[in-house]
Amino acid sequence: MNAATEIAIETVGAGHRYGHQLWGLRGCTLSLPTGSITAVVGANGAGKTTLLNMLVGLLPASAGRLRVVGEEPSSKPAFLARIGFLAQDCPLYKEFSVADMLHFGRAMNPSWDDDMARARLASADVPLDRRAGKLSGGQRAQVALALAVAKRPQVLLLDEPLAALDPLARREFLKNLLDSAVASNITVMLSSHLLGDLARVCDHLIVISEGEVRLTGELDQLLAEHHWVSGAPEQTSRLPGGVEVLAEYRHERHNRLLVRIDQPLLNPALTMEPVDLEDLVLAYLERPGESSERAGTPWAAREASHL
Amino acid sequence: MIWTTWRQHRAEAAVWAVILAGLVAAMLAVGSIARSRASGLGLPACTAAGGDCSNALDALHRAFHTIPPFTAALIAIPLLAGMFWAAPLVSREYEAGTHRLAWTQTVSPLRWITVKIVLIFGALAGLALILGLLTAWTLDPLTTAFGGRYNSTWYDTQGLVPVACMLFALAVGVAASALIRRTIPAMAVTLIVYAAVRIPIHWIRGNFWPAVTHTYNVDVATLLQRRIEPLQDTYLSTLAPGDWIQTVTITDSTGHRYIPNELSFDVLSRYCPNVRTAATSGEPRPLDPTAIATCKPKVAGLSLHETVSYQPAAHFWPIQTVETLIFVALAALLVIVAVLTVARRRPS
Repeated sequence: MNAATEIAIETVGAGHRYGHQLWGLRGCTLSLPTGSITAVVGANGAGKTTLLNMLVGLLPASAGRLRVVGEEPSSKPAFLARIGFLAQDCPLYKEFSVADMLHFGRAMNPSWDDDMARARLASADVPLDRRAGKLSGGQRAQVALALAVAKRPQVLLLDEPLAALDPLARREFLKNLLDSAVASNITVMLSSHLLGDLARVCDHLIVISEGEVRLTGELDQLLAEHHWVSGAPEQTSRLPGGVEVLAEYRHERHNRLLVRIDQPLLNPALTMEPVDLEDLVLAYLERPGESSERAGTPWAAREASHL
Repeated sequence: MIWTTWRQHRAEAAVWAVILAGLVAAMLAVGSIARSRASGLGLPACTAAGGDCSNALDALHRAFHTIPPFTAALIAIPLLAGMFWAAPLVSREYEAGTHRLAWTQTVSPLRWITVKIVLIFGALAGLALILGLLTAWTLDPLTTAFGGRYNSTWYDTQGLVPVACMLFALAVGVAASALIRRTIPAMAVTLIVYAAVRIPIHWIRGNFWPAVTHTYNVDVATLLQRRIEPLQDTYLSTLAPGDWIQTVTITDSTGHRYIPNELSFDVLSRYCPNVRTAATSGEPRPLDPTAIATCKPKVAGLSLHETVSYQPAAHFWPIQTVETLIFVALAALLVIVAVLTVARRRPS
């Protein structure tokens, strides 16, 4: 494997501006290795779809640059053949039967693997003769996934694939996705407004808020770097340099801080606890951005009961 | 891509096939009836003999009373194709969100739209050509009785123009579809643009090819003739059936223009009042030859002449060719706009 393919997705200061003013995403810098599974988490309208649309070439970069499997995203068939894309709401042709959708995939993709698509749909119990418009949300997602995977892409981009699915269908979908990704060493990026079930399948995380990437990295490393620190107010207010406080919950005699830190604190008066992924994401999502016009909510005003 | 295009449009294709089958049946029936009526009236034999067939032609015109109703459908077909085939072409994908599916397969959006346009435009242009040929066959026995091929029913439904209209309507539809991305507004825009461009063409196509002009001197005899039988204008006898009169102007040596219908009254009142009274009294007595003789030089001194500008029936094809080139060029421009718009493939 050469150096160019070790990094599957790379962006440097990438951004897309809608019109003259509104940035859908700006200053996005990412580097994701081949075979990684990345969760892109952010509120609705945060810029997740903008990022995925830029990576598949549906939106041009207004700033910075992007490389997906070593190429600049474009509408060239040679690039499109290497990208599997599952758009938001899993669009399918309503009047097509599932078998027609497979025929569509075969007609539109030279590298199509029909056996794989059929096996996948059979294992998900999707009837081939049913019209796409009459499928359940879970079945729709399975068909859309089968279409994206059976073209044998190197990178699979999924925009909110779980949004319309019930918990059982989510689990089925993720299991199916993971099987494909691992079997073919596909690099996967999937977005969601909540981390939820994604935590179990992904190994990389991107948190997007208000059009900016707030956090990106390998999951294990992020968990290792972040800690809950608690102690008396006079202790927690005197943290050493290099400690970034992300969230602070004050009580009368006891403060609880979420911090980013690269080495253990030596102060015995402070207790360190591992951080939960959900808390970590929420802390970054709620943090006001540098370019945010909205004034940051003072963390001190927050009640501990929010936890 | 070919399979995809067929699968996406086969429902419309089936609906159109049924409607067109009905239309074709109606045209075959009207064409046969027209032929048997015309031969019943002895028209083919009369025309072959080269005599005056006006009685037979009038009888045929009366027998059909109006132009067959299917011709309205034929004129509407390009517009309907633009609205129902082309206007949804891109916008339907946007409305269903499937553009993000279609344009992320291993087919560039440029190829996607090009194949669709080539297949759909090609099929419908072929259809327009076939319908045009069938229309020519159907209307042929009635053409002379209904005044030739220049009236819009005949002109718009046969020859090259239906094909050009079809391509133009489809191009308007697909450009509106790609730019507006909403089906109903794209259909409305197609309707408005097509009508706004096509309707004025009826008034200007007489200029698409140089007209033929004839000039006649107008003398007293002509004036008297016109006074009694205004329809028997001099120029009418020199025009062939199916010629299309553009303008008729009557001027004298000073350049003064006369209104054709009022010419006789104006001139005779002014120069030959006696003749006018006699000519209009309605009495069957012959006109006073001396009154006419004194009037004659006065009218001759005016050097009245009538200029008729017309398109002979034989200019049908040159005019159709020019009009076809104009509309095919407009269609090509609109198709380029549509293709470039889709090639940019925007996600929303």
